[in-house]
Amino acid sequence: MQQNNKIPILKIDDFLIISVQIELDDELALSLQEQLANRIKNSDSVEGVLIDLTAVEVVDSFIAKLLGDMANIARLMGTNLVVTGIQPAVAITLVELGIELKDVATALNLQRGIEILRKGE
Amino acid sequence: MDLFVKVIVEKKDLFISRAREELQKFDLYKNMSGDIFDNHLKNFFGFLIDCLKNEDYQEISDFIVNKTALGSANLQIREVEEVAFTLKEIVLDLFEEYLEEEKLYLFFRRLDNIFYLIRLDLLDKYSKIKEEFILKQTQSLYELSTPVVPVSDSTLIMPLIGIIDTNRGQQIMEELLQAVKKHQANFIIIDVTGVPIVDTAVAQHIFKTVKAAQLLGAECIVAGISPEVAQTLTRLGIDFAGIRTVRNIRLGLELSLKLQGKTIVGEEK
Repeated sequence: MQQNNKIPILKIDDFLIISVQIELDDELALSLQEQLANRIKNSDSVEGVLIDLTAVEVVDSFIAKLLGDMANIARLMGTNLVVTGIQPAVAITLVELGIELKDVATALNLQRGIEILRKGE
Repeated sequence: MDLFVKVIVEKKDLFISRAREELQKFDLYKNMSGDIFDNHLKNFFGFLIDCLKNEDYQEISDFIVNKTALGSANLQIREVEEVAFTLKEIVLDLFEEYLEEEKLYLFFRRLDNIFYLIRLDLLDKYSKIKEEFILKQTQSLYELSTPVVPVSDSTLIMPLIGIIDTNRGQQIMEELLQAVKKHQANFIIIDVTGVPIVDTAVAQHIFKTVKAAQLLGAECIVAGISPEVAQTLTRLGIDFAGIRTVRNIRLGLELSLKLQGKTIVGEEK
C-alpha cells in the first residue's frame, strides 16, 4: 500500500487521524480517499476517523466535497468520521458561501472529536 | 494687502476689545476665563496678520481647530459660522474711516475670499472630527453590545440588545465563534429579548451564526423571541426549523443541561 508522505494517516488507540497541513489538489485528494479506505480495511479495529483542520486557513467547496466524500466512505465501511478544528474564519466563510458540510459531524478539537466517536453517535 | 495689514495692526487693541465684547455673547465663550480668552484673541490676531500677509489660511485654521474652543467635537457647525462671521465684521469695521469706495470694494472682495477659504477649511476639518467621534462611539457601542458570559464550563450566554444591522450581525458572528473557541463551549444561548426587530436580515444572521457554531461543535439555543417578533417571523414566512428556541435564558440553561444528560440537584443535608 502506498502511503503518501505529504498527508500521513496516523493511528492512536483505535482512531485514525488525518491532520491537514498543506493545500490539497485533485490528485492528493483522491489519493487520500483511497488511502483512508484501505487503512480502514487493513486495521484490526477502527473506532473512528478524525480529520483535523486546525492548520487550514481556507476552505472552499472542493475541500467541503472531499470531506463529505470521506465521511461517506467511512460510513459505508462501518465507521464514523468527525471533522475537527475548523477555525472561526473558515466557519464564517463556509456559511457565508452557503457551503454545507452535509452529514459530517464536527467538533472543536481532537479531544472532543474522540469523545463524540467514543459515545458512538 | 500691505496697507490693509498695516491698518489692522495699528488697530490691534480696538480689534481685541471689540472681539472680547462681541464673542462674550456666545455660549461658547461665556464660561471661559478672561485670561485664557485674551490669550486666544492675541494669538488669533497674530495668526490673522500672518494669514492676510501671506494669503495662506492653513496655519490660522489649524490654530482654530487645535487650540481653541471651536475645535470641540460637541460644537454645532452653526456656531462656528457665527463666530467666524462676527470676527470678519469686526475686521471690516476697522476700515470704516479709511477707504474710498473703489478700494473698499477690492479690499472687501479679497478679505471675504480669505475668510471664505478659512471657513471652508474649518468645516472640512470639523466634519472629520465629527466623523471620527461618531466612528469611535459606534465602535464602543459594538463592543458594549456583544458581551459573552460563560455560565459553566460548557455553556455561554450572549445577551443581545438593540438593533442588529449587517455590520453588527457580522461582528456578533465573529465574537461568538471566537468565544466558543476560547471557552471550548458546547452550548451557547443567544438571548434576543432585547432585540426589538427581527426581520429577514436578522434571521439570516442568526441562521448563519448557528450553522457556523455547529461547525465548531457548539449548539446554539435562541432564547427570548417576543410575541411581536414571533408573529413577524411567521408573517414573513421565515422558518426557524432546526434551531432550538426557548422562552428565556433560564429555560435555555435547563435545556443545555438536559442535552448533556445533567441536572442540578440539591445537596443532601
